[in-house]
Amino acid sequence: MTVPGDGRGAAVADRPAPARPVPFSEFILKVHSRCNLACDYCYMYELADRSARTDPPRMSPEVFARTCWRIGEHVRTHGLDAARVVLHGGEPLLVGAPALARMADRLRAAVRPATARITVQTNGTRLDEPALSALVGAGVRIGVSLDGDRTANDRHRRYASGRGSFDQVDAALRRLADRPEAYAGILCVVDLAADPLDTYAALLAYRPPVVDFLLPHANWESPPARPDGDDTGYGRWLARVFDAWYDAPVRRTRVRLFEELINLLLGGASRTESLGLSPVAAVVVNTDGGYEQVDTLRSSYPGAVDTDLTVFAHSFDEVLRHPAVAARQAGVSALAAGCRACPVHRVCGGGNYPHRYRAGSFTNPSVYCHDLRLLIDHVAGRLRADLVGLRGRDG
Amino acid sequence: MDSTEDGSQGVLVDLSDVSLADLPELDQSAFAWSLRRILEEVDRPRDAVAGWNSAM
Ligand code: SF4
Repeated sequence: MTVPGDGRGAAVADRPAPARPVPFSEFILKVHSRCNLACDYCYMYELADRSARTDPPRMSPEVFARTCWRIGEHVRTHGLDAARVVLHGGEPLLVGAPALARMADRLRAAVRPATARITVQTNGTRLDEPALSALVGAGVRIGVSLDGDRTANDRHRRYASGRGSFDQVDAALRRLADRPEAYAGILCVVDLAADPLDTYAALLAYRPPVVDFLLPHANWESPPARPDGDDTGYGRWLARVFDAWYDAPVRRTRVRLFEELINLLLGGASRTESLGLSPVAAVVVNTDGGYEQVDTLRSSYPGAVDTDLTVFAHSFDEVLRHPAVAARQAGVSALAAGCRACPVHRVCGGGNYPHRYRAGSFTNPSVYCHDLRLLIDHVAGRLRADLVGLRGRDG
Repeated sequence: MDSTEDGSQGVLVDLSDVSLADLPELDQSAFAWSLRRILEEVDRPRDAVAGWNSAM
């Protein structure tokens, strides 16, 4: 098959920002606001906004019932055929796996005849065999957070006592690897102190279907650690993992960040808020029933996530009209002038929103700007070289 | 080619004249998967939305 020119891909990339709000299709439910770990980079407890410390520890039955009703209302209002629900925390397994399984059943019933794809994102420390079986039985998929091998993981992901969490998470991931139907993947936060190839190899050992690498939460007020002062250090780290992933003759796992980056470079659209200009269709419901913007904004300043809207008084459509939510669906017009003038802005998208914060504003390039530019240029170079090879074969 | 506020294509990788006929069907590399995905997306465009990145 020959692709006729680049116009088709460009047509995808150049789609204008939506004139009307895009309905939410991903609902993140904070079912438990506390955590049994005390990771030093946690945006819920360790960064700028620590209000989670005073949130109700657990989502009450009343809040959960009302949230189910609101999700059903939104799905029917917009004729959605599917909703994605993430049971999150804190640590969601603190409510117990049987309770999560019952929640999954209630959510499915609430959106019928649409389908609900339900995921639990856990730190893995409580994912023992009974918990895993309960979740698998309820059709819940499980994502686990792990930062690499024991040394890398336990540098940050520790109990309050200082003890590392690796042993429990390692055991959980071994169990999960044997239940591929329930295995959503592994989330890994980049740490420059860890070797990128060792980190990637450590994750691959658990046979994850998908991996994603997240840049540590940071912004211009609270910049990321750069031990050697190199403002492209994170980009170089990721580029080394990219090469290992990309050069494998058989793709051993999907890597969300890299796949979305390639798709953007080829003229497609992104499905992650980390890159690109696709409208963000995710919303958070807190344990108290308050709607929040994607809660990683807690890393920027106190109150950054608040909308003052709740499941008891407001619909998800009213949340869509909130100015801060609308800004996440505004595409290129929400970017800083410097980003709009940047040659890679349609691919980069200005970076992850919380990373742009400076002095009360998100209209700035990402604090990872140089890292993103390096990674994008690196991946574009690799793609171009391979496409030359493909053209050569055809000619 | 640079992209600026006028919306030109910038860093996008040009797929013109690329033939996939010789891409072996059994090629399971990340590159091959990526080409197949974009071709499917181009043939069946859907409005993409961005999901939350703190969950898989
Ligand atoms: S964050 Fe940097 S690389 Fe990304 S669009 Fe803005 S200026 Fe360009």
